[in-house]
Amino acid sequence: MGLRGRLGGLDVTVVLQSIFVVSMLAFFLLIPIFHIISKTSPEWLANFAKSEYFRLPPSGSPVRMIKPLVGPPVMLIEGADFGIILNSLIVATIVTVSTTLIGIVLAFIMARYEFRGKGLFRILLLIPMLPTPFVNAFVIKQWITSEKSFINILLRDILHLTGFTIIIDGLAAVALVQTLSFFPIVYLNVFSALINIDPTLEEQAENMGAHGFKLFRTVTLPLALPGIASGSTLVFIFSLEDLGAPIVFSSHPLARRLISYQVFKHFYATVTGEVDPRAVALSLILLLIAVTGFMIIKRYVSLRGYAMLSKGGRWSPRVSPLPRRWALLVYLFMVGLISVAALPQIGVLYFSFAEKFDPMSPFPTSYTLGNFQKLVSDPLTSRVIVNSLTYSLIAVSLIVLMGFSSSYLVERRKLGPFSSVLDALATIPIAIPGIVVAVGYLAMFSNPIFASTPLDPFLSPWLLIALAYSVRRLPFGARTIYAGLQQIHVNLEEAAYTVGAGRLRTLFQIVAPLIVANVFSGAMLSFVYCMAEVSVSVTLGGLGEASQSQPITYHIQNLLQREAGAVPVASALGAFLMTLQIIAFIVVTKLLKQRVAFLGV
Amino acid sequence: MNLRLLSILLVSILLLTVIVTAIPVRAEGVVLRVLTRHDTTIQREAKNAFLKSDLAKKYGVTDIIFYSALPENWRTVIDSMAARGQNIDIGWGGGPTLFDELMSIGYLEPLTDPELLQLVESELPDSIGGVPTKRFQDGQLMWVAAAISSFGFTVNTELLERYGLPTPKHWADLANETYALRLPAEPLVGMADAPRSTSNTRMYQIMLQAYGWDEGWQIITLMGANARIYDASDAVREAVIRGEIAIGLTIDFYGYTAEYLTNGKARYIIPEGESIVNGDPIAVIKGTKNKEAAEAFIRWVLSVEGQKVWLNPEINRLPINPKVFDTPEGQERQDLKSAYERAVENIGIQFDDELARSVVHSLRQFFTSTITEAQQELREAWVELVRAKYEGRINQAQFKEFIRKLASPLELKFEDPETDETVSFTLEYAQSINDKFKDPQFTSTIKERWKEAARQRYLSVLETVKTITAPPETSPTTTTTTTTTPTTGATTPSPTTSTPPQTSPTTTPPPPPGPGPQTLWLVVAVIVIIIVAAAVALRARRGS
Repeated sequence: MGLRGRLGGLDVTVVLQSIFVVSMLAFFLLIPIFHIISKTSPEWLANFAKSEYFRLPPSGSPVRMIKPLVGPPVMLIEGADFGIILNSLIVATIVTVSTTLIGIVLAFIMARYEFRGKGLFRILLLIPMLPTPFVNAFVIKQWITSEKSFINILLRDILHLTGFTIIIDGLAAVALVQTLSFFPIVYLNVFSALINIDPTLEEQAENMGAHGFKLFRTVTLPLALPGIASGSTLVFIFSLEDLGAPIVFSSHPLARRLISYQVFKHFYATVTGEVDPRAVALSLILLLIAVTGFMIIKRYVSLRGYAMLSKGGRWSPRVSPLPRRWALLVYLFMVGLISVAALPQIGVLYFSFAEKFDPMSPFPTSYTLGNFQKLVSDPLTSRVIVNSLTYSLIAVSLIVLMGFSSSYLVERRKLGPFSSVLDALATIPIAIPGIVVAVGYLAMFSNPIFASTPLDPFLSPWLLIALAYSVRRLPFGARTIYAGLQQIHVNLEEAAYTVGAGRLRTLFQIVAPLIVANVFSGAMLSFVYCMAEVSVSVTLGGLGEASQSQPITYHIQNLLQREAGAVPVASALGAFLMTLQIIAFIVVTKLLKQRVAFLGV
Repeated sequence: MNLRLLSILLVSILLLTVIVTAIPVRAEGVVLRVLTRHDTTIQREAKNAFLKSDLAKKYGVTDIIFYSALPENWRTVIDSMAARGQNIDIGWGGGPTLFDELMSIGYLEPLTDPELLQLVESELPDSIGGVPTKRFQDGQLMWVAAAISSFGFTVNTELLERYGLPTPKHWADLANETYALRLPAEPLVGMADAPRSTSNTRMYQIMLQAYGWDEGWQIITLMGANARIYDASDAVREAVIRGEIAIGLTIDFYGYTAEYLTNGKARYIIPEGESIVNGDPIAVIKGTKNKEAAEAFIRWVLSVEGQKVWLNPEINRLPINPKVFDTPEGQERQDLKSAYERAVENIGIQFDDELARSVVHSLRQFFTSTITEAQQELREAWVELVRAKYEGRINQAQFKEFIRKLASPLELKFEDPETDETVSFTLEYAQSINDKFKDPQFTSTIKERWKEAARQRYLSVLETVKTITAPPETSPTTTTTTTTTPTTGATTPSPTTSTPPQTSPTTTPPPPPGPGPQTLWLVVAVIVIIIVAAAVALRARRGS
């Protein structure tokens, strides 16, 4: 057994691992998606030619000064209507471009310059990436959409900067919320790309006379491109599938004109057992857009990948003091960005202590700790916390098993083309929007043959939610485990084989203990992302309303949309999620003894 | 760390969680399953109070599980729970239409418990404000109202004062252009999407009966143009309290809660002579396995003890059993008592429950297709129309005529999904298709046709109004919201478009904008996409 195993042939362990990973992904990712394709009726695709989906020329203009027939003039920023499909595409593109620009500038400043207060900024920059689904959009909504909103009180009433009212709503508000919550994803990816650039390359360029912007444009930027691309791909797909912002702003007709919202709305409207043909057709379109975007960026990057001269070494990064003439600008940029981007999180924390609100104003009048007590004492609220913890634990266990198996197979057992198939399978969930997974599950598991089994979504969707979490968050866990495995030399395993250890024994007694820190970190990260997952939770979770199996994010949405005076409790749930993320972040940083590239929600 | 231990731990956590979630807690005694539209506050209070009562102990009830579902899904939930052996025992809350519907398809079990009947007979009024609060079928009691409510709107007085706007008194006021004056920046009215709210659906039914089918729909549609449309009736009330909107459609107890939470800045208004008092039913669902315990629960809900749940300051509902006001708890709620009297004295319209039931599905789907989903176009057209009126480009008669074109259900022509004949949304038609919404194919086809027909007519009104340019002396140089084309420059309204003709209902609607420019733009877009893709591909190849 030992010898055969070492030769990398097929043994029981490899076969079992392969079957496990492949069948999990096939059953709970690929087949549901093929169901979407097969259930899309061609007549429905013809509907997409209507101006509801492509409205050209668009109606309205993104920013306009309006003099309403009564009351003060308004600067209305709501976006133009290009039709449902183009709106989604345009919002995603705008969000991708703006987050990429902010992310690059920020990463460059943080990676290349030394300045007073940098340590503080580094910590403050972590605040915007704490996930607070729905509540963050809700907080921003309080501050931008009404006559008496925070920005109007500040700019018009206190600073007298504007003589008019500013109202941001609709698509513009969705894009704003998404930009503020997604830019850290690009920042972190670009940051880690920048500090990994071989300094000798830039030094050579300087020797040859390239300086300043030219150096940046011709050397630094192309070298950081993989980081930029992976960050912006994630943002593009997150923006396309985002439901948090569209749902919170859905009382504005334009915020409803997004593919993700339409799928959500029609998913919901048809809890009768039949999948709505419109939801199916739209999720197919969403899938196509996401996968195309993913492919284009991937392809573009892999072709432009530049080899590093000395890979793996730890060099001292090129850091220089901040030039004086830039100092003011940099500080203004950093302070402005952080104070705007951290507002939602601060607001969530602030609202979580609120007891009563002053009607007509975004500010509470009295404060209490009771909201946190309600997390335990209110039966439904404590129930959803238990639900989410359960689903996330199941998902994380599966992610660890799948991630470990697939990484091990890809990295250690060179199985030829099968390796790359497996690698692709473990990565592909990134490119698949969550609501597409949800629609696929509904299309597949509403089939009568699953009736009354644990997979029946109408009985209780708990198992499906957990499985969807595990499939959706697999890439995040798998990546960390894979990185750990790469650092372990294969000699260690070979030594074990030569003294007679079998494959399974080597795996458990040699390999696993060596990467336990990575496994644990991967598990921690996936756990946090599962807890804060939105798209599957609010769609499939809605089916479980009758069986009380809804997860936290569904409940937050419900509290904000439906319940009286429930904002403080929703905020307390948001604060709970933030706390989990902070704990995970600290634990992972301590365990891996290095900064981890958080990928975002 | 020993990894074997870790993996064993992980696997056992996995197994444990599976077991914990998969096996439902098997309580010893009777578990009642209640399908409800009531919110979680009511659920919590009722459950806690009932489980402590003697009745619960007598019938061995140890737990109540509440299930909530959208009104359209009640039937499915009842069926699917029964198929799994977990039959729903009780239906509670959701309005008479929902329960009449369940009764008509045989989903309700008659109430027979003598003590319950005795209580219903002796303590509860047979009707309130002319509306029956008990429903009989073949002499058997099918449902009883457990609470009553009136319908109206809650206004945020501060917001109305800010813009110097009048306080609305009638349903029709909410559709008035007065409340469109802050559009498109700030919608001042709020309402809930019909399929998402039984209380708002009730209000639309009331409007349709108070003003008649044609005018009623015109009012509802224009209200939709004025409004922010929310996903739930609670959200409407929250928005009024926060000052996001000035007027929101609310059931009475939401209004009272809003008054209470804002110290009177919000006010609940019952439209004069245009509302009804509604009994909110409770009933036993057919197929229950615990009929005795279910009837005991109903008996408790209707008793003075159970009615105290409504008095909770977080709930504020009007009880069906007025005796509750004689208890010490009831004495403390004089505000609710006077609200009760206000509601009972309000003599509203003569409401026909059977008529309401006969079009309820049509109403919900028509509302969501032609108003919620086409709201962008509806609002664009409405804003343009109101501006045209205020800028003197059209007179009152033309304004009325355009409103009819924009919002009358009789003016909306579409093809019936089954016969493909061109029809309009008359009351008779709405009744004839009301039962067909069970068929998902029919539903999705007709909704798509409604939406498209509605969008086209909104766009065509928008185009027509735009071509009527203002007389030069009255143009106040306001930046018009939409891209007006000043190229035509015609000062006189062109006779073909603006003269209000005495159109008979059979005149053909203006042809939808031809596919010409639409297709052209689509082609341009496709070409642009192809060029971009080709450029990217070429660049990528050169890069390698």
